[in-house]
Amino acid sequence: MELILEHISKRYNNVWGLQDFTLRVGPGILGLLGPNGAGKSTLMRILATITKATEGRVLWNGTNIAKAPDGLRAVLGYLPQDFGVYPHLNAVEFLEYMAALKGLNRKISRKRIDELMNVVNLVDARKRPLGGFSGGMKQRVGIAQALLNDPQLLIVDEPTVGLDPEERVRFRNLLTDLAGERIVLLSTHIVSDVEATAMDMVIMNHGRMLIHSSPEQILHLVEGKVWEWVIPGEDLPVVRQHYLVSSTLRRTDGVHVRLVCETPPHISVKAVTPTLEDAYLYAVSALPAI
Amino acid sequence: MNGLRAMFYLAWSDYLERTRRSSFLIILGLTVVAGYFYLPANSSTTSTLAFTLDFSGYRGVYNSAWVGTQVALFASLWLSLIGFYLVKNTVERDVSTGVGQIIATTSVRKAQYTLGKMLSNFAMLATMVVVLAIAAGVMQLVRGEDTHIDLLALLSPFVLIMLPTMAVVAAFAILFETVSWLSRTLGNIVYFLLIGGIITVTASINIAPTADLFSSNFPIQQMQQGVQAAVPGYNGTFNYGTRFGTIFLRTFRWSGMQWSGEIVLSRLLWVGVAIAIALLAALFFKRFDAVHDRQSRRVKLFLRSVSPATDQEISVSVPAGACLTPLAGRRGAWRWATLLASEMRLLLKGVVWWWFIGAATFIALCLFLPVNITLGSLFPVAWLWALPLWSALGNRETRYQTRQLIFSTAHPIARQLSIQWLAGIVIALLTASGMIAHFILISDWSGLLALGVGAIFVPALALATGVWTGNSRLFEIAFVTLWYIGVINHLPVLDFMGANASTLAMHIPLAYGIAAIALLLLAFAGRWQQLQG
Repeated sequence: MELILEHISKRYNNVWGLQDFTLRVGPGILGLLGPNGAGKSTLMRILATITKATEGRVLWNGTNIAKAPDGLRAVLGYLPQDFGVYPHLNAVEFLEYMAALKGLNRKISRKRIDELMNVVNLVDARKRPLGGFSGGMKQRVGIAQALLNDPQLLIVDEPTVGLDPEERVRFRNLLTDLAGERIVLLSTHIVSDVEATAMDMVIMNHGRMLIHSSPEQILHLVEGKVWEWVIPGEDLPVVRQHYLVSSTLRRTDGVHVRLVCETPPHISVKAVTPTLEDAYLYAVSALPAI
Repeated sequence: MNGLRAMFYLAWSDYLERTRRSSFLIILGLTVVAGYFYLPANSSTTSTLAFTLDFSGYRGVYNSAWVGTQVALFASLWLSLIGFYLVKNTVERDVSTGVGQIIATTSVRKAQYTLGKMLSNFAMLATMVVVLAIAAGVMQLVRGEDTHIDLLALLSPFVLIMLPTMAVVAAFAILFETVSWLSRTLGNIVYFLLIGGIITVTASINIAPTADLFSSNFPIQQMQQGVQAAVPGYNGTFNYGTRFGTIFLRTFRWSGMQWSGEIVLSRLLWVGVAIAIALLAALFFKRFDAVHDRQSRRVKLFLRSVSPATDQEISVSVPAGACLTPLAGRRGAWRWATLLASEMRLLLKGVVWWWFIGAATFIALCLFLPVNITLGSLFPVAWLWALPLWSALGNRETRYQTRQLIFSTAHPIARQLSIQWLAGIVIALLTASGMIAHFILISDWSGLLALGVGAIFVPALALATGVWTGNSRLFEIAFVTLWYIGVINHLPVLDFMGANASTLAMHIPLAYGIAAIALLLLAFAGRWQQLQG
């Protein structure tokens, strides 16, 4: 089971949404991190066979998905960033419809839907029309439909948007459980989602890949470069202007500024243990595209 | 002042959004083409569709006065019908884009909103009128009977005949969008029948200019006076409408419309009526409150029952250890019967109970009443009854934003789209089942064949138009037009369901069978293009 991306580019009119993206993915969870507009959703849509790359090719187990998409579609689970549901159907009916489209027989699909209702925690709402679902409940229906056909390739684009903290943790655990013998592509701009689940990650910006490595390796990028500096509140704008500020915390002794910098910016700063958030910010602001 | 500014920007931004779409250029192109048909050349060799004003074998020389008045008269009628469907989407767009939610939180009043949207609708229609007026001028030169352009004579009919009518159409569009039960297919049918009724009434009786929405009577009266002055013995008859075949009309010179103060005032009165309709729409406008949106009773009941606490409750009652059974090797096959059942459920879900009562009544009546009563009346109504179901075909994925989910499944054209067509055929056969049974009982096999062709044609038309436009309006316009002109008014070439005896004699069902296949291929091509991203 292998997904290979070879020099993928996508152009919208005169703007490149994705440029020269090359990647080889095997079983496990690959987290895709990037700011808004980085090209994550474009990449997800290409891999989900919704749109075609302007240049390059994507191979699923050696087959070009632009030329023969149905081989991949049969084993694909896809949760788009924005999607709708049919408001007059209830959750079970909607999933039965999606199961029929995915070629599952009635008996298997019913069992699977029962399990999925349990997994996404919609058992109590299973017979209610989707038109009355909240954003989080609708998102859980989306997660369930993506898992209907026990996909070999699971693509989830901003899956935790709209979920409450408990559901978010639950979904992360589910992804980890599922990731054994399948490829899971998790696109998000929430660093903690990737931190909690991904074995491998890609950081991208402006349509290009900045780094592809394990979270541990990416943390090494900012080893010895993260500092905490306590400054008066009025100095904060100047510090923000000159340094890459990761976070700020107001305390009685001043503002505790966490920043990423190659060398200590001041004698009073103290080195702190880097987080993936620091590494991500550093990568997006300092790394050139590869 | 701020209110006027808000209204202006509501209209202006909406107008820009609409006119910057490529589909608007297509509409303008079709408007220019219409200008060609509104001014047919005298010909003894060609046989085409044309719009004619025929005063006992006479018409005016194509000078600016005649050209402007004739084109404005025809366009006023047709744009009243088509224009409504073209502009009736402005509130819907604010809902689907989410902009409505933002507008709802501003200080814009309901009346400002509906008036602003009416202005936007009017600006769209007025743009088409301007393009049509330019096309009319060009056509005058092309026809070459009188190449002197008199701008006042050419343009005044567009301003005084067409624009007030378009204002009313613009206002009706906003009213129909805000009244929930008129906002979809039923409203489209009601409007068609309403305008059809007004056209019929104004054409059949001599009404005062103030009551003449389309302003068609007094220009024709002035034209008749022109014929009487130029042609001794003119008997006062005239023919006004579409015609197939060769056309040859003798000409006379007409000097143009005499716009009296009463006529101008009557046209301004219709602008006032338009504003009143837009203000009436404000009474029905719910300010994008989702609870008031058109939803089934079940959804409303559910919305009432759900509170944030309920949602939270669902979130915390998590059964631990939920697991998924592997499905290796048991996925991907085409289960068409399961898919057909799902598609049927999608078509029928949310349909109100009285729809089924109505459909059952038509089935029973078509079965038990004589064919000569049912075929030309009850059976067509039975299929008109099914129109809201067919309207979802081909565009449901766009309307409900499920395209990404469905397009990422295997063989979305061969499986999902073809089964959707089949579901449409099943609806056609079910709603016509009384007629089918009756045909079998009386062994009317040709009637049965024509019905069968209609049953494959209508869903194919719905599918093709739905896929290509992303909404149901074009299908509804096409269906109701064919239904009204072809089936109810017995024009055989447009009788897609074989409701008239002459239709069968002319082998029209064969043409509709071919058209159904062509439309199906067109639908597949459209979906294929969508799949290319």
